[in-house]
Amino acid sequence: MQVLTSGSFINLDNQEKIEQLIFTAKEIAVAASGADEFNNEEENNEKFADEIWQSAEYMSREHEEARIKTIFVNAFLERLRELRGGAATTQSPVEISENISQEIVAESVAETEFPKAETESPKDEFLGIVSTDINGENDELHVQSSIQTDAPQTFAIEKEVFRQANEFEENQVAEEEDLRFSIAEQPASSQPIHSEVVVEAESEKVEAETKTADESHQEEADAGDESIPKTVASKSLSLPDKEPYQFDKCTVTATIQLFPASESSTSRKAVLSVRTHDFAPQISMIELSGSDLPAALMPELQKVLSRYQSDLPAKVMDKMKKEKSSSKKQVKSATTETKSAAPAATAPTAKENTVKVSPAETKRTPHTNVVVKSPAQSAAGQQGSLFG
Amino acid sequence: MEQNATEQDPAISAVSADNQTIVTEMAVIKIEGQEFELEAVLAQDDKMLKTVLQPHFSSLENANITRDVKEGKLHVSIVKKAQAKG
Repeated sequence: MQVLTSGSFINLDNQEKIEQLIFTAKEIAVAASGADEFNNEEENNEKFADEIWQSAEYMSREHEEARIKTIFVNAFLERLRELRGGAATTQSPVEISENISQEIVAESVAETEFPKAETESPKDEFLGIVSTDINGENDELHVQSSIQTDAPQTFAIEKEVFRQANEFEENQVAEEEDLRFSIAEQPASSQPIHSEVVVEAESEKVEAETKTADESHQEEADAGDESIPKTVASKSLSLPDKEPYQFDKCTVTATIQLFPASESSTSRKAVLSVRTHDFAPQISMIELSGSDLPAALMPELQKVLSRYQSDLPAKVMDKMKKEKSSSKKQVKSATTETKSAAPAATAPTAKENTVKVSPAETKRTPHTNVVVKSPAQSAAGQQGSLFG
Repeated sequence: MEQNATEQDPAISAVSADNQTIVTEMAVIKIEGQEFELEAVLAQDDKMLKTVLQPHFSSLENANITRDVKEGKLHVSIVKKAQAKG
């Protein structure tokens, strides 16, 4: 075993370095005790150990420095006690409390690594657990180890509390599940609690709960899917831009107007009008007798609709004929205008003919313009074909 | 050519302004370049005519309505007025 030189780097991960540090501390203690003026007393030894530690100037990580120093000082003092005669010295409560405070400070410095090291290697002597041969002699380390072993206990307590909390939540969830199955519709307020349990759950019971939760979510999703087609079906009712001229495939507007009944008669007059596309409405007046208006209206409405359905092809044919004739007139007027305009430019002798023709054309043009360019006709041109 | 309905059956025996009797039950309505038949009793009064045709012709409210009896048949022509912009 070699003695560590001044300024050496020591880390707790390197056990060889730690052993060298302990060996060095003991060697220094042996060397110091051999001096003539050395007074082997506990108080002096501690101060002397601190001075030696400072003069050694060992390098270490900042959060490991306190623990390494403690190891060094303890080894130094232990060796001095052995040299003093092996008598076990007991520390005063004040000293113990001071050591405890030091250890707490050290723990706060090395709080991240300590629990892991404690749980991974509980018998590591360099991390505070003293071996059995010196267990009864070094109360300081004993207290230290007891403090250190408190941490796993607190973890165990936390785990127990957490487990109990989980069980309590599981019970609550189970009760809610019972309520859910007992009641046909699940209240929406229980949803967030359920999801929290799903997030926090780790045990098998909670996994089962998550399964049931997934099933319930799926049921809700299925319910949502069932509701979706309804909305889709309602949204799918959209009108095309061009509707065919077929009664079953176009929008048919039927209005019912009930006129006030006269005081003398119990019957009531009504007007039923049916229209589709831009065709002229088919208006018929009926007389409803009796107090049950819907019952009296239904057969009349069926008659009106069936009659309009049978008349619709004839209306379509008339419309197409009108469109053809209007287009022919338009073409004729356009050709006559071009003929009349061309000779006027080339042959001035043809003026008389143009003069004769043009008034007739000018008389016609307003009529044709009205027929062709009326809003109804232009809208009719945008409608669908006869056969859709 | 305004006409007035008599107190008899207006559909059959309405009398026009020039004392031409309406003998047919149906009247001819001309509106927006279209012609269609309507029961004469519904076409004799402007208010009634507007009420009946309003669902299908929204421009009827401020339209000019003229009536004429030709060969015993009531002809009603409806021309909508140009409305103010905006």
